[in-house]
Amino acid sequence: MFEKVKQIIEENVDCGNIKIVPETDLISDLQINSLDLVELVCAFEVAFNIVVPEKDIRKLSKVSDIVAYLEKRVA
Amino acid sequence: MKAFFAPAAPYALARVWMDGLWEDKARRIERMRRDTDKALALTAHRLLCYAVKTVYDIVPGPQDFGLMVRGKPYLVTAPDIHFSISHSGGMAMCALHGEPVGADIEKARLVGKGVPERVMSEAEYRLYRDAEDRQTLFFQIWTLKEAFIKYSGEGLGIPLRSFTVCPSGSGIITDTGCAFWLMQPADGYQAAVCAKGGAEPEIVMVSEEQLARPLGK
Repeated sequence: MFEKVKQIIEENVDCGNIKIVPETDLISDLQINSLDLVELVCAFEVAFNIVVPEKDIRKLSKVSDIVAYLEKRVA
Repeated sequence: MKAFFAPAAPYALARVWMDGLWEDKARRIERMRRDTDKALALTAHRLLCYAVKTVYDIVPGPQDFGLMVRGKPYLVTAPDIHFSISHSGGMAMCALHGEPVGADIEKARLVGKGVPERVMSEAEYRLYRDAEDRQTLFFQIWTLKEAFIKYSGEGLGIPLRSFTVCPSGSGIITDTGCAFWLMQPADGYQAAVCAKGGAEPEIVMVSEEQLARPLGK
C-alpha cells in the first residue's frame, strides 16, 4: 500500500528531491495547499474506488496516515 | 476594509523578515525546501505588517501574535484588527478589516479530473458546466469558497459542497449570509474576500520597494 500511495503522491504533487517516506508531512514537507490536497484526495478516490468524506481529510497529514486510512477503507 | 497585494520578494530580501515571525511560524517556514516558497510566505507576513502599520500605525512584532483554536493567527494586543493572508504562485495578499474577514488568492492552473464535481455545490456545478471559460470560473468559485472557510475559521470542518458562492451575471449568488468580492490583482490570478457585510474593499497594490522600507515603530 505504501508504494501505491507514494506513486500517486509523486504523480500529483511536485515533490522535487524529497524522498517520500511514511513520516513525510504533506503540508510542511511537500508544501501542498488546500487545492493540491483536494486533487490528491480525488486521485486516491479514483485509484481505490472509494469516496473520502471531507471530515476524514483533516486526518491525513502524513503519508503514514494516508496508508493506514486506505488500508482500513480498502480492506 | 482593504485588500493589499504584493509580488513575492526575492529570498535574499525576504529572509531578513524572518525576525518578525513568532517561533512556530518561523520554524515552519525554515522547513520549506524551496527558497521561493520561503520568500512567498515571508512576503505574505511582511505584507500583513505593512498593512497594519499603514492603516493603524502599529508595527506588530512576534510577541503580538496569538493563535486561535484551529490555528488562525490574531493580534493579541489588538484583537479588533481582523486580517486574513493568503499566497499563491508569485503573489501575496492580506485583507484587513475591523470585523472577521477571510481572503484567498490563487494562481490559475489546470486542475485534476473530478475536482470541480468534488468541491462545487449542485448550483455551482450547473453554472460551471455551462460556462465558456471554465478555468476562470473554477478559480473564482474556489477562491470565494476558501475566503468563506477562512472567514469562518472552521477549516475543513465545512464541507465544500455544502454551501454555494458563485459569480452569476454582475453579482455573486450565495446561501452563506456573507458578502463577497472578487478581484483579479494580476494576470492569471483570482482573489476573493469574504466578510459579514460592508463596502467593497479598497485594493492596495504594494511594491517590493515599499515592503523593503523599514516599518518604524
